[in-house]
Amino acid sequence: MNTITEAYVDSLAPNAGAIKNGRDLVRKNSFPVRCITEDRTLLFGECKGSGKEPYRCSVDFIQENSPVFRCTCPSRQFPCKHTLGLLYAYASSSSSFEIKDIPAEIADKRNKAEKREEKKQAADKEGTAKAPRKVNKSALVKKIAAQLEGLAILDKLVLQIVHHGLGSIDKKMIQLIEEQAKQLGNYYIPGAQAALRELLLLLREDGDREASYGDAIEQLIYLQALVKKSRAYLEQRAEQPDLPMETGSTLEELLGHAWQLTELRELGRSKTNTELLQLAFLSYADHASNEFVDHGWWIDLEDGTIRVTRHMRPFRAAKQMKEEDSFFSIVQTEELLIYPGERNARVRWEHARYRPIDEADYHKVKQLAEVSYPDVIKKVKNQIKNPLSDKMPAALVAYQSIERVNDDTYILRDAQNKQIPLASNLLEAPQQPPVILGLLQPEELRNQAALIVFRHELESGRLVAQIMSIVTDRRLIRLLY
Amino acid sequence: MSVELLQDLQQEVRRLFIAGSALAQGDLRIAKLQPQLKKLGESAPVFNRIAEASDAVLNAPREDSAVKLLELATLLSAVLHTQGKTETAGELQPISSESIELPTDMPYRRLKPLLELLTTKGQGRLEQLRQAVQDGVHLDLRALPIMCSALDETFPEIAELIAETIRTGYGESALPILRQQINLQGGKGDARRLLLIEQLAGSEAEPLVLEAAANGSVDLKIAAISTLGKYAQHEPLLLEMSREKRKEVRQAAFASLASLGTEAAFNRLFEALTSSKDRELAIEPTRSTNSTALLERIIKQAELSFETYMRSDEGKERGAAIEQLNAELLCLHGTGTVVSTRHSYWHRRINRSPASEALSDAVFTLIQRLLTTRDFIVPETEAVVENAAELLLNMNTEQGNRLLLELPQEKSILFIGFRFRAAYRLLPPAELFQAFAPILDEPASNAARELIHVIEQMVSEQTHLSELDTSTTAQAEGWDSRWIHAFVKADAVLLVTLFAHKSDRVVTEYLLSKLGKNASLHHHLDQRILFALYRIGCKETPALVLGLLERRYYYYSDDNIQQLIALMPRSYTPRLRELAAKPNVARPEELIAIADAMEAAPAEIIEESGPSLWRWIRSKLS
Repeated sequence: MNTITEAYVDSLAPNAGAIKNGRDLVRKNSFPVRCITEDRTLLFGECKGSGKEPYRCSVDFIQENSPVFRCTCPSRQFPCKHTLGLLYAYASSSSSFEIKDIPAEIADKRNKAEKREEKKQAADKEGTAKAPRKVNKSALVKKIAAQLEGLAILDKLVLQIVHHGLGSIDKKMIQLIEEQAKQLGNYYIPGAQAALRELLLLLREDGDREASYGDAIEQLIYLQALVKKSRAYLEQRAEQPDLPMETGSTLEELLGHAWQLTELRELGRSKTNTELLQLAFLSYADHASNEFVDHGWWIDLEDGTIRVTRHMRPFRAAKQMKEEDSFFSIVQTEELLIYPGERNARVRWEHARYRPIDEADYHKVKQLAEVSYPDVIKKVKNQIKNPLSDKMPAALVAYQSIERVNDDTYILRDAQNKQIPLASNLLEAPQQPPVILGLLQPEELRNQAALIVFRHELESGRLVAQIMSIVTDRRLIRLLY
Repeated sequence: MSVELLQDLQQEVRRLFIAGSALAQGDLRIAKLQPQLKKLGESAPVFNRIAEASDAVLNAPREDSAVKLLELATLLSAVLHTQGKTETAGELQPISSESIELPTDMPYRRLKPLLELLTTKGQGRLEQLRQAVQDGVHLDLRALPIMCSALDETFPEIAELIAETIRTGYGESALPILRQQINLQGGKGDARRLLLIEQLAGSEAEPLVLEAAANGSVDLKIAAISTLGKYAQHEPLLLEMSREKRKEVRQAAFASLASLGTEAAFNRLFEALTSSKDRELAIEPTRSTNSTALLERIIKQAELSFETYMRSDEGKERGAAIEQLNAELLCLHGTGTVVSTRHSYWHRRINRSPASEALSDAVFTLIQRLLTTRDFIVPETEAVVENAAELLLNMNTEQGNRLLLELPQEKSILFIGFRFRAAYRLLPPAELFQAFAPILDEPASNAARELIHVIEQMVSEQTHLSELDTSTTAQAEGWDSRWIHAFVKADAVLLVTLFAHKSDRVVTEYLLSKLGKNASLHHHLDQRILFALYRIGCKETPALVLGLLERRYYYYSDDNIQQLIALMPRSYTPRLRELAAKPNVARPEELIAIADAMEAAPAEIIEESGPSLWRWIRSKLS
């Protein structure tokens, strides 16, 4: 069985509340009965509950990397706080667990689960010869017609706003736009709808309207480009419904399509034998699409590509969904599925193994860093000049030093003395990066690598970057989470 | 230069977006930029495209203006995104870094809640903070600066915990940040920072501390001064601070002068003690010096104050002398002493003063003078007299106790208490009873009430009684057995419950009569009565308890109520279960749990009964 550490148990928990509750249970000595089977594949025990009878809970490691949580408590969350507590108890004092035989009821459940798995595998085997899902042509054409209608509404609205001017937008106008945004929900273009909501958030700015005009204009440019490109694409698809979906650009996702893993597989967008190391993590609330986003930046240890994981949890369903978290092991997956994207394509995986990070990995990462700033900058500019592109590309760059110019500007400097100016306001970090930089060891500010995210600053005309993490020979310094 | 032109154009485009594309036709300012654009277009085709696009805007009819403006804006934005500057002119300077050895290994789901609670207000943060610190979440480089900022927290308990954590968890690593953050003109948060810096940096912090003491805000001055009592070289500064305008600053200076212990320091304290302005402030610092030399001077001074009082006629001089004398006497007690005030229920807290005890003869002589001068014992001097008597009582010498016993009771009600306490020490229980019980014959008199009050206080001191534990009693030995009947006669119900040890018809009847119509298991006094009834073996007690349970609707069960139920004989458990089944009983499961535990108690424990049975039952219930 994997070594059970506190960090491992933390990673299994669906949210921070479960972590706290699980730990509290151990602290209050709520587990009078704790056992482990001799082959060490099952942890089981009893937990004092609020009722008369204690709850019986267990964690089954018969499949090492997918533990099964079972508990008699009424909670619908898995793992529940009782199973988490049992694991925390094991992590802190495994010797307090008695060696006992597997209880009959759990042995029964294992049997049933095995039988189910066998049945499924047999069915799968038969099913692999199945052809890919058939596209219902007439339904598709109907859908595209609706999407085009929605885009037309959006187009009209955008032009109307530009025509009247941002300065004249009053409460009434905002209400109108809100109504339209709601309406767009009926036209199968959730991505466009979210983009319109973004604009609304900018226009509603109670504070400094002046400051947000620049962003509002960029958002209008984006909306117009989205409408134009989508129209061309959808009209083409309407004429030839058999055409596969567009994967050369992110257009489908921008419109709002949620790629299924099976679709990505069918399109051959997968990579085998990948090792990923998480370099940075951030979780934030997106009020335009009404969801929480858990965003991870990872580096592919093979070729240095910076890949991104994005886990969305709609506000309404957030409580039932598992939160993601900072990750401190190397992910090894046989099948990495890659979404259509640009420099930092989104990825997902279904099965993975984990191994601990060691210094050799940090060396490797440093070697994968890009050394020439003009090259990186050129590639970044090439991406962001496109109105529909990801406007905040990430890159791992090597630096000879992090320094200050003119007292208030921080910069990265490469081996050829080329600079990248640094900013602190692109992403919400726990602390302003300069504060953390001032606490590091001097050698960490020289000859290391940094994961940075770029952005073009409209007002000043500069291309700036924010440091998300620093990779040294011995550790990863996270300036985000 | 060409980029500037584009940025100018960008500004105009922005203006039109704000004003509305409807006004774009023929816009003069864009028109002005056209020639330059076209000229640059000769060498770079992209400028041509931009020139064409802006032409289109200038010439578009109103209904097309939005489309054209957007096209121009899109093109312009795309070009400008490729022109972002990345070089900054100027001299490169290295960043100073403090080499703090802390990792950044805390995952988001553990770190974020800590940062949240440090930067927002809300309920329950103290406990959450304690938990997070216990789990080591703060040991992350990202948390360090935020913890230090959180010293400005308004909730004192949270701020104190943060200060403690910084001191023990981060230690010297926090110094650079604390030094950066501290503002010598700040408030309590900065005062905490100063204290931390002093604790962590030791003598290196001295310049900062001295600066704060001399020029800081009041909070900073007080904090700085409180650290200065260690070295003789700080004496001049402390003496200066002891004359500052603000009272709190002087107070802090006196405290540090007391630690310093030099001759000049003690002289200053003495001076303060004998001034009307600083008399009050000087008392506690004087106590903390534990200096017999200083106390000798004070005792002599007290004699002078006494003489001044006796000599003066009515008026200010007399009043001043009394206050002076009182202050001097207060100095003879130990640190932290609070002499009881008659009008509140605070327990006296009279602490020992080793220095006074070393001078016990001199102290005795002084107090003897005070207490045996008949004309001195008047209402005006009540505080001083009480003070003096407390002092003597606390020193507990044979001659002191005898003197107290001789106090003229008729002169002041207070004396009853002192005489009684002294007598308790000197006389055997039977004599004590004979000497004082007659006072209770007139239960309504002030004297009787005072006596009852004093006995209650004494029992509470003897048994460390707290309100919450209503089942404790006075120690049986040391008290004559006739007291309880005297208490019954005097209707001192609390004392009766405290002294009830064995079966007695009179006591039982009395207690039963005191459980009035409005008796309730929530009232502490009623609880005491019931415990007493159990103790003396009154057979009706279980029924009484059950009756009270049935009568009222209990929202909670405190330890005492549970214990009262658990003391019932086992035969009562069915009736408890019956009661639990009734609809308006809150928490029936608690009643059932108690009944279960009572039935499950093994025979040996029941035989022992009393405290061990209760402990057994209680362990089953938690």
